[in-house]
Amino acid sequence: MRSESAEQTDRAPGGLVERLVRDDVDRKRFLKLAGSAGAASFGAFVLAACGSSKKAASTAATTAGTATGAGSGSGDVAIANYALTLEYLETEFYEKVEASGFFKGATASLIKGFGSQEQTHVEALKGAVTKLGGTPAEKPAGRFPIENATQVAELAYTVENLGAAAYLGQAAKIQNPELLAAALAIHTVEARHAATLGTLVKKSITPDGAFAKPADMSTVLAAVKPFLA
Amino acid sequence: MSYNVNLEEIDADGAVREAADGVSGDTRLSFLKKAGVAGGGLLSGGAILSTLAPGAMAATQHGRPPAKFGRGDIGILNYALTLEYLEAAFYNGATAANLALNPQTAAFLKTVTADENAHVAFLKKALGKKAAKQPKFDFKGANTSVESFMKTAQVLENTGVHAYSGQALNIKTPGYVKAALSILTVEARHASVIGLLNEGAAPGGKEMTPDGPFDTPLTASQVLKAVEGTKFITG
Repeated sequence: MRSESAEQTDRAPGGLVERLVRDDVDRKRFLKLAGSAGAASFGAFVLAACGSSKKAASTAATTAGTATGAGSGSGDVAIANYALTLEYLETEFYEKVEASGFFKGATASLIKGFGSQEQTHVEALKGAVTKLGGTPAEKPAGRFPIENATQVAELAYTVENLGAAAYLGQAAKIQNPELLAAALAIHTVEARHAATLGTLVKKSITPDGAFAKPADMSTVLAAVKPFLA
Repeated sequence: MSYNVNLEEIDADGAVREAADGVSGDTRLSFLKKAGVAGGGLLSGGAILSTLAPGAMAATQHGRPPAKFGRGDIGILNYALTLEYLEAAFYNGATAANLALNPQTAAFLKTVTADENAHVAFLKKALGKKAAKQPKFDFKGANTSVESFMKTAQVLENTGVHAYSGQALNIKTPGYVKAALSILTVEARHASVIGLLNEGAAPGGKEMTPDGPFDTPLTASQVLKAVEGTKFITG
């Protein structure tokens, strides 16, 4: 049964990601890599994890298997590096939006403010990873479609909703209370951004209703894949 | 459907929020000042940034609700339920008052009314027989005029964020932690939207994220003091 599903997932886009969901060993490997001193390759791993190519998958698996280093055993370092990577992408996204010149006046300063808050989250999470004994993940290269004001604002809404759900998905897994406090303090700000943007683009401020839904790492990484250069 | 705050208008002249019939001024701060919370009560967001927060930890590891709410998780849930009762009653009253709200604020009221009543129902069900009874409220007109409704809603929602944040690390039962965080997210969403609607023409977005990049947790005594200051709970 295991080999059957592996065969299937090798063909399907995002196969390895799906396997990460099902296969506890793979997930642990992933977390180990994400949390290792070799976290520089986090972005590359996400790509590999999301790719359909067997080669990419096996390379990633090999790398993951051999990854060692400071903090590699800590789920918290992995989670912080995961959050850091998302914050890097958000920051870069807002930089591009700002540079696009699509927004003026109040909205431009709103966008700028949100972007600067994401940058602060980056700095905080880098500090958190270091404090937890790990090595901060490197900034991945982003790729964002920047076409017009409406499209960009809707994309921002999507990205922020994803961010809020991503933090919600990790909160219960965080062991270190200080990291948890920081993650929660960041998480509500992501939710604030998302709902503000929801109002601006006339979409739901609470897309999940009265109870926000968490998103697990695999779901988030698959959603993030198109934004990695 | 004409929204008062929307992208088209933003695009057109960059001054969209002039169109929102917002309320100016730092309502949250003045409210909290009246309630005696501002000044030493609020923890700075910077505390979280610098070494991830001895300050925030102080608030999150202590600051449990007083014994009258019950012991352990029951106490925390009853504390949350009391705040949700307050929010739900406030919005139910506003809905009944049939306020002349602009479409966006009307949409906000519809969403928050449904959400807060759902939070009440959820917490009551989780607590079963141990659920605190709904207190008596007197909002003294705060939810029967547009301006005071909008100002007060923003304060209540931000208080909700600070209250849930402050208890998140105190809850022991994993299922309750998840539920509380899920509700916390929604309170933060409400808070930012009413902040946006209140901000009106003032640029910068400070009302959406009043604590900056990190939301601040508050202890139960800080929150209860603020709530007491409103005199909304009468029995």
